[in-house]
Amino acid sequence: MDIIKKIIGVLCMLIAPTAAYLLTTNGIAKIAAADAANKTNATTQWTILILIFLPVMAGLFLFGLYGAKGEYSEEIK
Amino acid sequence: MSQTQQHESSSGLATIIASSSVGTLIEWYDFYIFGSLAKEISTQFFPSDNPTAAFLSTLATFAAGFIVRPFGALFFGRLGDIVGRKYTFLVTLLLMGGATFAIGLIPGYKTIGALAPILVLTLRLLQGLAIGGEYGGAATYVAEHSPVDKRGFWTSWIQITATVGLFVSLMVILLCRNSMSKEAFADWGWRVPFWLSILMVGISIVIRLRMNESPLFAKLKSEGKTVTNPLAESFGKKENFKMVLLALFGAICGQGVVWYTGQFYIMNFIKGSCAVEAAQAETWVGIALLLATPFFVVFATLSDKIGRKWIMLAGLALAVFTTKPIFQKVNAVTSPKNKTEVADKMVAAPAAVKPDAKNPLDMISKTDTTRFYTDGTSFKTTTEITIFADSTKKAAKPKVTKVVTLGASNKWSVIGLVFLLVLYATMAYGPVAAFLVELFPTRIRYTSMSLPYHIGNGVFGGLVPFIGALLVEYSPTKDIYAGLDYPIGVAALCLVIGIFFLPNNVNNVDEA
Repeated sequence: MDIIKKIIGVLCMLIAPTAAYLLTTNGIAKIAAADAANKTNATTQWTILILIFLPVMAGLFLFGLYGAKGEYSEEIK
Repeated sequence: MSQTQQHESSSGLATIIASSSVGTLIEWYDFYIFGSLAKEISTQFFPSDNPTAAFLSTLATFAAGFIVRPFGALFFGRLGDIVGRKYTFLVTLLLMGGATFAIGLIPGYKTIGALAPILVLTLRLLQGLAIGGEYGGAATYVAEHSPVDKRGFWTSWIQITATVGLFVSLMVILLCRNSMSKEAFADWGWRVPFWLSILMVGISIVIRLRMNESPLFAKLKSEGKTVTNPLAESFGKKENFKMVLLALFGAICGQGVVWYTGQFYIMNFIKGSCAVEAAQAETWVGIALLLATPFFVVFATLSDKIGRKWIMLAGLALAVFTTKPIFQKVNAVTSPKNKTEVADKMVAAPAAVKPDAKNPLDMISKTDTTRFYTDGTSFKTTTEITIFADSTKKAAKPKVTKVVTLGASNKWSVIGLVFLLVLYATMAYGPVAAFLVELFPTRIRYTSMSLPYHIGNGVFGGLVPFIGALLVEYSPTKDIYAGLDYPIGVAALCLVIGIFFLPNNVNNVDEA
């Protein structure tokens, strides 16, 4: 069980930065396109999305790190 | 004195649950009427031709749900763990009720200009802050009054308030719409649901003022064991922060996407991709919601017997494996392509030509075609072509609108399919309050459970319609099911984490 938890932890550590990268690059592209088309709405939406999701992805990374280090391995009551 | 003895009698507890739940229900009502009346609010306060107003409108929609809710959770959670549950969730109710009532009083953009959208935005943000603080307070308060072996059952009454609040908001708006002319509703009638809120909030505040502080918190306070900085203890101490992350990624983010897919995204899908008439879609989804709502209580009660974990995860697993087939089936049931047309009943109205409202020199040609099917379904296609006065201008692309009005024989198939999606939400969401309460100790419970709840539901769940639409747009074939990849992916990740990491709590709680 502990091995599986560690593997899942590593997976989360990989998923978090990948998701953050995809979100940010797509978001920046969308913002650039929205700015060019003078669409304030899309710029605001994407800025908020990126701002709110990056800390959440940092949280997922930390969760993965704790999992990979075996911090969830002890019996949780 | 044993723990159980400290708790209320059943009738006393029922009063506590009723007063807590009614307050929470009113807060959800207040939060949802803004969304349900988005079109009217936008017309009054956020004219689309004004870029500043459009910017403020987006902020009101996005920031209130996704940014301010988690901040409300932190702000009021901290207050609740220091001052107490009773006064904190009294403040959130007051804030929500005041903000909602005030939105109904603000003169429109035409009267006071840019001040109108700024005031609406400010009040909407206050609503987001209040809803962020309410849920954790109500769930904690009820759980701390409940007998330990019935926490799931009693807190489930808080769990149903979000769905019932949505339902009540739709009913009140429907009543107001039907009791006056279209013009009167667009002019001032939309304000009535906002004004009504103050009545409901007033009654709820009187009831809540008469309630006592949670016995567990009162005991902690009398012993001088409350914390002075719950934020630092919840998120600064690794052993607590680890559990906050576990709650979020092992349960709540999956539950959030399943709840929003079953209650909102399916509605968008039926109205948008399947082009079913709005009133019919709303009524049928409403019936499915009503039928499934009691299961919040059923599954939460079951979780008192067999633990929270496997019921929540069963909801997630069913959603992961069957959501897409259910959406495909809904599309198959509603699509005219799968029906037999009564060819000789087709009605093609002659083209009507009228001047374009935006540019009266141009003309708009409008053609309606209605097809009928053996099961009673009708399918109306409206094609609008703009004929430019300036003949050198390139011809505009025809605008085609499709509306499917389903025959009665399809009713229970659609309701049944939506019911299944809502049922998954009841499994995943019903035991959540008890699960969160039991994951954190009393002294930091309000703070610690509120943040993962509002990130999971407000951010992960609230973004289902937006990200869903985005994925469909990105899909090379414009696949109408591509939007489901987001909720299914999040729920799948959450399911895997939940299976291996979550404890199977059955009334296991640290009371200190």
